[in-house]
Amino acid sequence: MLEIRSVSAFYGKHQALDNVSLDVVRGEIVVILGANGAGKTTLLKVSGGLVPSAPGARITMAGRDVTHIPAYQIVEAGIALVPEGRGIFGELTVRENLLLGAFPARARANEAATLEVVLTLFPRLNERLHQVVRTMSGGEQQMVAIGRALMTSPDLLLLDEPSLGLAPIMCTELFDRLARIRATGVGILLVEQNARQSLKIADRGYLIESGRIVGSGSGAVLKADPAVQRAYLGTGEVHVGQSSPVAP
Amino acid sequence: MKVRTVAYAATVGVALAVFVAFPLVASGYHLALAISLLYFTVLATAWALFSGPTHYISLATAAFFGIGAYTTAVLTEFLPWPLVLLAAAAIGCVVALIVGLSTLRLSGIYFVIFSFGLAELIRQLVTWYEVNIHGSIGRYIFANTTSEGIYWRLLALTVLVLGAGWLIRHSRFGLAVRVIGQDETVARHCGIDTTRAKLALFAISASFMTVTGAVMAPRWTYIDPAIAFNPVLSFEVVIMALFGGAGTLFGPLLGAVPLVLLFEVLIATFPNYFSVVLGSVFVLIVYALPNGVIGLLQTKLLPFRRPSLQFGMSPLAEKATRALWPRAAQPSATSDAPVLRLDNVRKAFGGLVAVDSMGFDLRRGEILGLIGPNGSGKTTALNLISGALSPDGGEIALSGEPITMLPAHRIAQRGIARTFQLVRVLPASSCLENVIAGLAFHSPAVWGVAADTRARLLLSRVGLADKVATPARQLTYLDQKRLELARALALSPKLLLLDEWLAGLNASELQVGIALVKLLREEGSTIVIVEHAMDAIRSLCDRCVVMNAGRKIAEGPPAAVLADRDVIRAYLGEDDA
Repeated sequence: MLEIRSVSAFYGKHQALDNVSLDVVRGEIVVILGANGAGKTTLLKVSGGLVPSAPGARITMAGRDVTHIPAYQIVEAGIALVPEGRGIFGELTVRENLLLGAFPARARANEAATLEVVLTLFPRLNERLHQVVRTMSGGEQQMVAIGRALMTSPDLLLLDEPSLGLAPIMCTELFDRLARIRATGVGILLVEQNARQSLKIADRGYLIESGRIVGSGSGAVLKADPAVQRAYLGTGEVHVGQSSPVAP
Repeated sequence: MKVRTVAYAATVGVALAVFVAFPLVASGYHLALAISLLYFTVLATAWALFSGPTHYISLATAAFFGIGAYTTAVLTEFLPWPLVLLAAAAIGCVVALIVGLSTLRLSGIYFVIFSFGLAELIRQLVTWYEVNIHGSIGRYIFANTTSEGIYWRLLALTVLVLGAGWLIRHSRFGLAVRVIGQDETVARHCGIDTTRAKLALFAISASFMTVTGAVMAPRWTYIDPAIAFNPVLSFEVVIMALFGGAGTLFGPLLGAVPLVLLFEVLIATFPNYFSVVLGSVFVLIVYALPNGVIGLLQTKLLPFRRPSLQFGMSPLAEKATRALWPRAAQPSATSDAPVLRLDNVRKAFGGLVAVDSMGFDLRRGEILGLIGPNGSGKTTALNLISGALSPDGGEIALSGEPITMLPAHRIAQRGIARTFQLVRVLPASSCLENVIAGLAFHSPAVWGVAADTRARLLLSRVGLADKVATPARQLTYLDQKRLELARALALSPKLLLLDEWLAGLNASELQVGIALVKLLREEGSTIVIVEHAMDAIRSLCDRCVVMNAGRKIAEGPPAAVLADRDVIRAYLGEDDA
């Protein structure tokens, strides 16, 4: 469904992505693993039309070329991005935030039905329907952001660290929800630091390092890969010496 | 270095002599033009003094200018010139303080509209007074002065306003308002009294504007409210400052000079289309030069000149700062009192009780983990401790002294530093200035060369040694988190509050982060962390407080707490236990 071919991206002189190609098909969860600063967020932003790709790239969504079209038209093509740091409308209520998600033409007709689905998926939002989002906790705001993306009736969800700031129990619940969203035929491209839980539900995954794809495979294969275990699952030895950068 | 300083002083001296001697040789027309140039330069520089760093766009220039003009009109018959000007400065200052106190809480567009309305309000008040009490709408000004006199006064005022701008820029006060302009929340948690800083700067800027009005008034011989409070003036000044670059000291001057000359030509050639052209010029400036002439010079013509990084402060600026910025009293620490004590603290938002009957103690050198499901009130609890919010009930004490109702900047000065769940740095400032913001306002404050050295030390400590001059907005998310920690540590906090500081890190990065927090504990820091990474909680915390729906449901060592049935049900889920 989503085909990304030879995508490179630059911030000034700094190259954030180097010739990246990947696919996501309908009804699968694809996870991207990598260190902070590896280019994961940039990849999602390029796919969502927020960062331009360098010449030579080609991104298609269900056969339609979306490489150079603006972000709001990419939403009409069926791609919904949930950015890092939520990007919710703090002064609006939960309900208003969600209904705003149904603004694209593709989503308007089924607005009521989609809202029903989203509220079943996130019962907490149903309880808080008329609360101003600014006053909600971080984790609840995250649910609003995902809910709003779902309101666009996407064929593909791009999620940037959805579990950030979620309590363990909510985290488990979130991944459970993502599996249920997948069952409805929506494809999910997921950037996550929580490698343990994301690999558990992912169909496939890619490893990204300094802007390049350095590995890929099924969720199970990646989980068993010693390199992945060392870097992302926290099972290997990590040395913190004087020379290594201190802090986070 | 010495030779350069002498050469520099000589250049300035010669330039000043030329400016001072100018009226002796100039024709009447050229003198009039020079007066226009000077008075717009003073107004634009004074405007940028306040609006440049704080980003509060003020349209009140005409109000203060008009007040000054009327001060002259009323007082010039009774008082000698110097006293008239002093009176104008004092009146401008008082009006600015009164107005500022009620309006500087407004932000964005509301402040712009209000400041514009202020000019109209004062004009109406003056009109009412003149008609009903004075008995005639206009006044004649019989001041015993000449064009040369006005020119020299304006020249002195120009030197003064530029001097004041330079002093403020290089003082702690200047840093405070730059921080406020970028993020008021961060400013408060660095210990900056934001209301006072904004108010002081607004009053200084307004005083220059009133004095300019007072100096200029005799030019007209006759004034009425429509002349003195002409709203177009406010817009012209904004255009000039933006055209030149409001963020720099000489920017407004670079904007005022070409635009005054342009207006002069326009008025002479298209007197009927002046407003249309003025509007178009405004639009063009905003589109073509968002950072002003100065911005263009810096990026296009002088790309190699790096911004100065020294924060050394002249003794004069230090004295000015002291006067504006008295140090907060150092609280006496009671050694055996807990570093932090919460007692029966409660906070509700409307009907929703976010924190209820919350209480715990924190000993020196301890790391307390505050955990719980989303929406259980953890961040609210941190906000109550750091003073971002005030509790509805209960007591909070730091080292035995109550801080319950203190504003955030006082709490920061007393030694509570924090980081934010969604990272907050000062995007336009260098990493160095970000950290100095943390050093300069707690007590005892660190400033000047000492601050520079200490900030570099803190930056290298969090792994940002090579990013000293980099603007914070160019840092990656991870580096911004490092910078935020360095800024918090700069406050030499008695208590450090970390709100999901380790979130968003992968497993190996997490290990590095945990190692750093451990290092802080070994040095005796007392820390409260809100975190969902259980690995971090287990390896860092001496004790955990678990919250659910605003209340404490468990307290104790991590191993015990995380095995608690209630905690597993509410927080961990069966899967993770």
